[in-house]
Amino acid sequence: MATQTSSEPKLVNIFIFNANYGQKEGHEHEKILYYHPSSADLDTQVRQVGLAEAITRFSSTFKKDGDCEAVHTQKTRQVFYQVEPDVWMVMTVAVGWVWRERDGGIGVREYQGEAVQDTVLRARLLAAYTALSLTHHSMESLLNTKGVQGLRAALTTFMNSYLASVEMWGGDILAVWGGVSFVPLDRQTFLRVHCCLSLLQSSVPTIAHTAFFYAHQVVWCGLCLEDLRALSHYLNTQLLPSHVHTSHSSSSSSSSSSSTPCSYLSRFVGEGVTPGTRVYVRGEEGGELTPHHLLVYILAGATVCITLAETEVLTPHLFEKIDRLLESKVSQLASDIGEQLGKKFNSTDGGLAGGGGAGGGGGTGGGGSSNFRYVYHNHMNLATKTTLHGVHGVPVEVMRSITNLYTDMRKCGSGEGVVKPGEDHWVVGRRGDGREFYVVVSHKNANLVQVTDEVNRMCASHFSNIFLIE
Amino acid sequence: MAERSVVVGETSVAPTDIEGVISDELKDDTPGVSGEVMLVNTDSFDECNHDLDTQKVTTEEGEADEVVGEPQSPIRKVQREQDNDLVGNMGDMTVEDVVCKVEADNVPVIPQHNNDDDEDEDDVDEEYLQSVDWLQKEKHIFILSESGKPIYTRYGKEDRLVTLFGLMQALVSFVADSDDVIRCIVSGDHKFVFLVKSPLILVAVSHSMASIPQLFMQLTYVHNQIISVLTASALTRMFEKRRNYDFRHLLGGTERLLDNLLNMLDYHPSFLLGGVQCLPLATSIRETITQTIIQYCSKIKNLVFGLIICQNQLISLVRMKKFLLHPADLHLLFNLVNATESLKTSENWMPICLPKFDPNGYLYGHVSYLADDCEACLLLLSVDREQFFTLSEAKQKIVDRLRRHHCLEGINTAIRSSAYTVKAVGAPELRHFLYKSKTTAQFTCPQFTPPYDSDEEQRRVFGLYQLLHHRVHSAARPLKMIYLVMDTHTLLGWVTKDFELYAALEPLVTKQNAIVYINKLLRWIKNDENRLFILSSPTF
Repeated sequence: MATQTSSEPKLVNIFIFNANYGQKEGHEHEKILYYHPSSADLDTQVRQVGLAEAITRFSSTFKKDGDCEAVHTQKTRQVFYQVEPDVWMVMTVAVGWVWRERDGGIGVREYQGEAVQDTVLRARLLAAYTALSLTHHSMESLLNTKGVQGLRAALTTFMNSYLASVEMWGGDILAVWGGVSFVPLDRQTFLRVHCCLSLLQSSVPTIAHTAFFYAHQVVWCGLCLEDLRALSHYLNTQLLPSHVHTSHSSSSSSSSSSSTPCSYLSRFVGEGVTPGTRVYVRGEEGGELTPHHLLVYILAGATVCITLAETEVLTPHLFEKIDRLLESKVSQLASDIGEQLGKKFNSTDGGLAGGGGAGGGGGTGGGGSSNFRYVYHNHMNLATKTTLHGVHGVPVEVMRSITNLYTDMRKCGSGEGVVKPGEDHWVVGRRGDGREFYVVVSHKNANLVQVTDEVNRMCASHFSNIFLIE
Repeated sequence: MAERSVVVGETSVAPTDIEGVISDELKDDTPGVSGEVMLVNTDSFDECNHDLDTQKVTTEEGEADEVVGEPQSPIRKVQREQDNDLVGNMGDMTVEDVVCKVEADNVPVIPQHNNDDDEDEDDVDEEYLQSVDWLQKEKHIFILSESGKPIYTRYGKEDRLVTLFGLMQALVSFVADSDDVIRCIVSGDHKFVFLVKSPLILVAVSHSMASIPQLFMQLTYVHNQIISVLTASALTRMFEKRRNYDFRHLLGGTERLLDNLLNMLDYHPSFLLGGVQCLPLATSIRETITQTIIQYCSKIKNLVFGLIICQNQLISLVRMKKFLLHPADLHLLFNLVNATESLKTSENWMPICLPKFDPNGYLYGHVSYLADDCEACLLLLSVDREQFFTLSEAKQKIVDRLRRHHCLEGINTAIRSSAYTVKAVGAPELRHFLYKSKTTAQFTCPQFTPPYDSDEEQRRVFGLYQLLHHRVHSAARPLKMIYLVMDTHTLLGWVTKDFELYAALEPLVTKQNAIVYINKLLRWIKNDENRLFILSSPTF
């Protein structure tokens, strides 16, 4: 009996369609803007898209003011996002199952529907669309500039590379928040980063915005939050993973890299003599997405992002100038930051309340004697911090119960929630003032009061200057 | 605090369990626990999930299941055993007449009901879909045949929703084409839940707090209600025979039951908890009542269940030794009595199918109120369709004896005064609670008091109970406990192997106090458990 006894969730398809296209019978395939996997025959594609569209229409008969979000079937979960008027992104995930013998000897596949969470999947779709907006503005603008065929081609290129770098169907509360992690820095270093970038901007006035990252974390960003979210996601998923191999092999801090004799161009990501990408950002104040050049400068684990209005002409001279202004400063900063983080790592897993809305540092609670770990998110600056992820992760059920608690607290406007998902864990969630965090307490025999006391103590030491409802 | 913190054990393995700071005398002494069981006490949501998981399998493997089902039928079993003893009291022709009378009683109620509000809007097809009022109903229920024929809609007239029914059927069959079953569509706070129970499709469209599994449960109740009138086998047969039959006639007489059931589902905790509420009654009175039923019924062959109920509460239940009554079946009996005014005026003999007991056959029920001056209703359920007069006679004797022993007065007093408020517990910051004893499948709860004195507030808190319930009953990740602090409430849901407790407290209550109050509550229920619950399990 070598039959399969269980199955994990997996991606079935992901597609984008415009409900306004292909209205005529026999032309339904025109609705499809993108379909993954492309190996699916056209008939299947048309059927899937047709069903999805029928469902959106059906649900809108009752719910006039909102969109269809998800469809649950016994074997699949499908989530929807109407990203632009009449344009829908849809993802289908096969639900995992376990083979169970039932009384009477009949075996049954028990589908683990609850292991797949709509909130997480929809956040994944939204993130994909945000990434698309960063590099392509919107499907509407693609359509206007390139026509339907051009739009399809652009979506295919973009989505295929996106799907290759991001796991669409997994994830937890971090995916839902879509936050970024900040490097916890002392004020001195933070100011030096700020100075360095200000100097750059005043020396090259055509620069619109700058941002400074260190090892996938944000140090400083002159763009608005939405841009930061998109940019950070873009760097971490698209740009940097592929760049790591070609540029610097040692991301750990080293001060020797400044003397590398290679050309300045190697520190910019991209091809040619004026390497840059076109992105659409809102700028400091938010507002409309406008096209910019994005230059990404990488040195010793630090990444500096520079945007210039699209009208600016990029010249090799400009790149050389930027490199001259940045090289020594950035390499020094990178080495200092690396050193600081190293220290922090060895002592405690740093405070969240550092200057400038800092918070971050992916310490996995190493060395701490505590039996609690947490995820934290600040909606005001997108700062996210986790000590739940990493080597000693908590059971996946506990992670899912965090997402559920998040949903429930939102639904009933609750400021504090405490749940006990199993014998070994408690989860305490608190939110208020745009911030929220979820603490997992691993304590077998604790009771409700003890657990909250423990969390209070943790708050006092880690979140002392952050107000949260108690 | 600490010196009296003896923590109650949920399991014997972990003596210091969850959060219960509970005093000594309560240790291992959970309220309402009893080894004697008269109601099926499996978790109804587990059952529901089980059904949903197996759904596909049975359709794949064809009819095999049905054939197997027949010989196991409890009704057959009872009949066979009793047949061996003796075949007697047949031949009362009048029985058929009585059945007819009962049905005739029921039928006229429906047209009246429907005519009231819909008479004069005979305009365009589908106009409901334009009506904000209709669209915004908190919970729609639609029933259709697998071929898309309209059978029932909770609001409006089904024949004016043909397109909508067609669309729902199309979605179901489209998904079925890929060897899958559609369960639910989520759109903001709207949920569209599909239950496919061949030959019927049931759909709920709801924007209440009820979770998807809870809506499945409700649809299952609706389905069971239909089975209860028709039996599952008759339903299947009808559809096989006449594919193009106008199925609306099929439910003739059931709409009233469905409407009443759906109203109850929206607010009555018994369905959510899968439990039964007992009329709080002094043990002595209840004992007398039970003994009386046994005294006059134990000699009657074929009698499976004898019970007295009132206002959706159970007063007494006596059963045939081999059989337990499922709470879901009991709920249907409550609903039947509740929704049928005409029962008050006469003695009735009617076929009743209890889907959990045996979905394919009828029990025959002698249903009558005890007396003009007593609101309680006696149901005697037998597998013998010819037994009306025997049971009628028994009923008279039961009532006579109950009257002699002043039990009717006892019941009347209880109906008037046994409901309690949360004040009785003496926990000032506790506002309301639901307590279910899992072993006996019974629950107790106080009347709503301020701030839950308006319909709206009661609905709100019930919605929150639904949320708690959903989380502690999740199939994959049932929480042991959930505690939510909100601006307007503090909520607690707590499940152990013996009980489920849902409580609403003041928003600013401290956790220490919350625990003190909950312990006080458990002690209070423990002290009163003989009044609040039926802890014995009498048989004929």
